[in-house]
Amino acid sequence: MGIWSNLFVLLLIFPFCTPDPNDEMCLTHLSQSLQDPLKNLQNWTKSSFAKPCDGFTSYLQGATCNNGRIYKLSLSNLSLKGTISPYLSNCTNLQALDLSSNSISGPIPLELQFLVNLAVLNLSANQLSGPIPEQLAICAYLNVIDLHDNKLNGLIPQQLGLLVRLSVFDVSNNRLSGPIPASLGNRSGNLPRFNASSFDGNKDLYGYPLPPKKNNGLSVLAIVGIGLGSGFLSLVLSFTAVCIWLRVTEQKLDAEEGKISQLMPDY
Amino acid sequence: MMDQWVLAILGSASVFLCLIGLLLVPVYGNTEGDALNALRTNLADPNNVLQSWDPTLVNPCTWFHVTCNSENSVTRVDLGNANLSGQLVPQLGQLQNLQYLELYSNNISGRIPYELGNLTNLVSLDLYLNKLTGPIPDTLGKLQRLRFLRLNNNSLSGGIPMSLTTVTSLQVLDLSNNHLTGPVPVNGSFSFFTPISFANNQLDVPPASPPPPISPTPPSPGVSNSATGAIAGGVAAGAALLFAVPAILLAWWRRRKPQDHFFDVPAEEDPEVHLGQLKRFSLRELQVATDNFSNKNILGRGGFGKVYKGRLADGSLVAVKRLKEERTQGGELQFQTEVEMISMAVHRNLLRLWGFCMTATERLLVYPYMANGSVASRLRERPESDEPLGWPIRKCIALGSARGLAYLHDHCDPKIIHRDVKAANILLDEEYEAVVGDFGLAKLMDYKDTHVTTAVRGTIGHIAPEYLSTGKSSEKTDVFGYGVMLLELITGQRAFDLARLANDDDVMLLDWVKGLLKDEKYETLVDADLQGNYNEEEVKQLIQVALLCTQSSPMERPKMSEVVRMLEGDGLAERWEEWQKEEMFRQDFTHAHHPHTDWIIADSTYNLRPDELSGPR
Repeated sequence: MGIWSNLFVLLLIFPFCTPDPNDEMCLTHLSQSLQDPLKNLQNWTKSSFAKPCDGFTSYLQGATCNNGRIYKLSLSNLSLKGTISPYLSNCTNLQALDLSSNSISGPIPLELQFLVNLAVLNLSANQLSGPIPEQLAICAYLNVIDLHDNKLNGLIPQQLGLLVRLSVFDVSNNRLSGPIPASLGNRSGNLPRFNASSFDGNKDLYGYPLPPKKNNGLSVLAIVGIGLGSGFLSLVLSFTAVCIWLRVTEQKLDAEEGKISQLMPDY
Repeated sequence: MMDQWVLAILGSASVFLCLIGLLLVPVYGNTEGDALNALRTNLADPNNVLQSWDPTLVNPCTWFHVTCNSENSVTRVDLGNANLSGQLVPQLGQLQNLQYLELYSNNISGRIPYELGNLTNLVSLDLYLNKLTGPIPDTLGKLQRLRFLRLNNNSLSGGIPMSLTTVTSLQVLDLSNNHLTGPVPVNGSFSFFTPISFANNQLDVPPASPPPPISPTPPSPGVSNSATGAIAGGVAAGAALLFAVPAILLAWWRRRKPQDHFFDVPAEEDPEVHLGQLKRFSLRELQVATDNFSNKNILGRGGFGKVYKGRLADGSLVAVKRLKEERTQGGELQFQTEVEMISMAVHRNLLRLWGFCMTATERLLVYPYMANGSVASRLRERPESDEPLGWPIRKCIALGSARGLAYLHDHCDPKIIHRDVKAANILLDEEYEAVVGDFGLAKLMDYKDTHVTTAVRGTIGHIAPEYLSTGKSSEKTDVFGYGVMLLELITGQRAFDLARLANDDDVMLLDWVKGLLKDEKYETLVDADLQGNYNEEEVKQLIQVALLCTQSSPMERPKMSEVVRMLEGDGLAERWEEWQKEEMFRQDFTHAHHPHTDWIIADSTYNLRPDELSGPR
């Protein structure tokens, strides 16, 4: 009993030493969903997940702590595989998430929207697929969204343009399609602007700052076909009309000629 | 003495050197050591963590919790969790190479010295979990290499200096759990910091989050679809226009020249075929000559087609007869034969065929242009400016045309029957010499079908009764027509009108004329245009010839060669005597019978429409 009360006092005195249950769950699930074939993640063990931070000191490779909570996760270029666990959203104090230059696949979890303090999201150079969740726009403090060199498809959510702090946005070299939202391609006011290099390398993406849509859905062949077809039709119609008209005028003329020939002398 | 001097000099020199050495070497170390020593003296150190800090040492690099670089300059001061209390000192600003100042988790109170702004190499400033008060110095904005600024859990007050937003290297900022007031900057490096960094203050929390978005309005694809439609529509309309233009042009072209739809087959110049003096024209040549068969060049319209005036490349004027399309389907060889035959008829009083043109669809005949038109036109459609035909000319015409017809009948092989002798077919050349035209065509046009169309139309009054009733024609048919033509020539009236006049008077034409002859009432009979300038005897003779020629029985009509002789003054009187005798006899006979049946038939045609005469022969 004495020990427990001491522990309790200790917890009160050193609030930064309390392991956060959310962070633990976040890290546990993340380590399960990620694969680490080269064992690059040192001391990513169950015990460290229970107590990853001591105040501002981190016991976990790649993690930065702030007030006892995981503040940043930087696991760049570690040959990681697997997927991103949706439980990552339990690291609610996460300000920066950098998983770039790995071989992580699967979708970007919608649950990232619950990382309300997220300012930096760098998932570039992975094998991520699926759409960009439009719910990322809820992360109002996002400064950086770097998703280049993945296999993301679908449209670019226009809501991302509402992120006023967004200063880096790079979705180049994916499989995105459709128009670039004006809220991102042609930002108004003092918002930072993104040039074409942010959007390059997506086959079906179009609109400023990229060139406008080329074929507008219909292929050139189809348009030419429609044009020629209708042209031919109109040709036939107009020729028919002309023929009928000529026949009518000819009849008139013949009638006239009949009249004339009685008046005119034969030669 | 010398030694003493030397010693003295040496000693003073060594002392001087030592002094210099003391002055120069420890200056660096001493300054930083002094600064740290000043800090030490200002802090209470219950745990004696600063015990090793000996100010008499040359530099502080051997002190615990102090780290130096290779140049013995302090880069780190690590005094976290040391239970220190007291205040910070301004001298800390003299540690020019200091990168890490870690004084967290102590009981340090007082203000943060603004001199810390001089530590331009500082990377980390951790003063969290102390009892610091007062404002955050504005000078911290000068720390352009600062990455970690943690001042949380103190009692700092005042506002957040805007200068901090210029520290772009700032990665971690924690100002939570203080008494700070005022606005939270959102620009610059502060863009990355969320409420976690500012929690538990009296700060004006910025409307950090933009208005929560998400009213998922997927980008409307309708815009692009309608654009696509517009493009397709535009292309279609354009193409339609493009294709319709030729059609419209064609229509316009044909409206301008409604009759001129022929297919220009290149004239098949066949060097093998020599048609005597007959020339074969190319269609192009005649198109050029007649200005593409322009309507204004039409000279007349006959039963066989229109006649155009034209001017050949050599300047000569021609009349081009364009045979009606539907009547030109016959074999080329046959056409050529007929044309050849016509061209054989060469006579002063015959309209000579100069040439022809033949393509798959076109048959054209080229005649010389007759400047003075036809007898009919000179008689009846004469413009006021032209002189009326005088009596001598009329006599010449009568004789000339008779010679022409006689030539057709007697000197052509096979003989050519004109079948349509009338004033309109007698043309006048520059010398008012009569030229018989339109001959040979009846046969030429006849080979294909059985229709007599406009060839008969307009010729009522000229048709010999036996021709009308039996459809058989002979030289005598032409003689009848010639007779009527003579009457036209004398009276200046239409054959049709003449007939009507006779009908109205209920007297036969011949009787009527004969009556006038007897009474010598030439003024009623003879054309008023002559104004009395005529020889009554000659008129009488000519009328006699006309009456001989228009006898109902073809057998009794003279041949054209006889007519020529009569007109030349040979044998008319005898012939006339004979005729009058027969006439007397016939009149006695007629009262019992119906000797003028033929005329009745002829009369009955007056009321027929021309079309009805177009029935099969």
